Amino acid sequence: MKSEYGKYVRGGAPETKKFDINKPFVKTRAYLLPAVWAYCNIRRFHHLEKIEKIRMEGIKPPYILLCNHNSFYDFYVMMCAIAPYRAIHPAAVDDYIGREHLLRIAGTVPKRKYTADISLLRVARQALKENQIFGIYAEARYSLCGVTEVIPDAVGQLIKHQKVPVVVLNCKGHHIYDPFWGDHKKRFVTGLEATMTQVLTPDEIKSLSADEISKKVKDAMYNDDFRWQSENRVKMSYRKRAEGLHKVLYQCPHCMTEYKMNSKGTKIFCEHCGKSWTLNEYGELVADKGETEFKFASDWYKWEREQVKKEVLAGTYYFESDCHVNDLPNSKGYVRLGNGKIIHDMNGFRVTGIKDYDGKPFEMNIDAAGQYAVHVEYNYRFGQYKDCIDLNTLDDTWYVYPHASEFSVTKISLATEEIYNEIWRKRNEERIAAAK
Amino acid sequence: MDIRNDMLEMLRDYTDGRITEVNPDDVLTSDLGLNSFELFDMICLIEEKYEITIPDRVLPTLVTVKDVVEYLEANV
Repeated sequence: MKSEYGKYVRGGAPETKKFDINKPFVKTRAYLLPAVWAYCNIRRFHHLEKIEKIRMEGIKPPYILLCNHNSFYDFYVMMCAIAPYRAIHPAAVDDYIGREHLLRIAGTVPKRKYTADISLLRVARQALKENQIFGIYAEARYSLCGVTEVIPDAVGQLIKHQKVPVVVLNCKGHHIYDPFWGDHKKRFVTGLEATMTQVLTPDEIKSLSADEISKKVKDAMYNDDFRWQSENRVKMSYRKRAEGLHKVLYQCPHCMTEYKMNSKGTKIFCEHCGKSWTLNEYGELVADKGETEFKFASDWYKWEREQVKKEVLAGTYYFESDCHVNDLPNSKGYVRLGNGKIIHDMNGFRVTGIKDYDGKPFEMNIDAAGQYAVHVEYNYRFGQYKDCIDLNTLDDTWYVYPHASEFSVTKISLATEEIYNEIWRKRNEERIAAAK
Repeated sequence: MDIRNDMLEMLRDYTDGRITEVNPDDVLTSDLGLNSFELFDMICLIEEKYEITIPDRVLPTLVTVKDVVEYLEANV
């Protein structure tokens, strides 16, 4: 379905029927498995990707499977890794567009990102009770830059509560093959790696606190694909390999200007000061002239986080823009809500506007203290290839497309995390001070 | 049966004293700082304590302390 608003987006009356988040999960249909395994293995062998298994002897479901997340290709490797078993795992509601039935019979359950969705935890409990694997892409989104994104503490608490083995599937090179910021064209690269490790046995879980479990899991899930590519001399010679990287690396470390970065072919460059860097075949950035501030995109990304953190600590972070909003009520697709305004500041997100359909106002407020991260998209395919911010409540999913000429959804994502951290750091300080 | 006080006591015990004061309009996540798992665990404790089962479709409506208290007062 395509309209003036883009693929899978329509105007007109709002949908009354919403995603059924509470529909019971379905185990991957047995008759699907041979075809699924065959296809997934073909995709895996295309990259000569080995799956190393550590401490996995005799491991059978039920267990919790945690995977790092760089691209849709992760799913193929996960299916190969857990064979001959199947998994129940959450998938973002927008993954269901146009293929809800297929994803449901593939063992997925829909999730609205970054919402305190208790029913999903009930699904986890039920799946494990039915001796299934419960798989979690704990970052809840694709990594923006090939380095592991924030993992909530709730994962450690869930593990402590369920007392089943915990397995981490850490995949290397998936970001190099299909980066979130890229053109999603086939980047031929071989030598990708996947390591499947039982990081915690039930006995070990009993002896550790939820925080200790959380740390152990986060350490096991850590990944930095550009560094891995360089250290292992994995060659990827796609001639447009840097195109899109400016979506992540939006601030120039040379002249400090924001939103003037761009990219072409193998180069990323600043349109304000003219400095440029080449992304070589081993994932390393090299300044074409002068000092190379960051050899790896992941270090540049960390530096950008520090700049955003300074703004948050100084209380000067603020983003406001006109925008339009597409609502995602169910898997049939988006409904154009209308034009409006988005504000993102120390309080959180505030989106207001007027509905195209009936001229009535619409509004969504997301409290910063309740949202530890946010999902953003670059050149979103169902949004006429524009950048957007995906805001969710337990009932609604809104894709918000800022109209400002200069902004970065990467900066908005980093600010969301740093504002959340700062709010809870202050509250904990106040609570401790009050307790004295 | 004073459900309101029960709730405060459960919150205080569950969070090891992290939560000492509770207002009816406090949002469980952004004001009291409960994450999704802690909410899930609290709901399990409430179900055990009052011997009820809270349906999945009700869960999204339990946003504030008042929502939980009112639901319990109507269903316990």
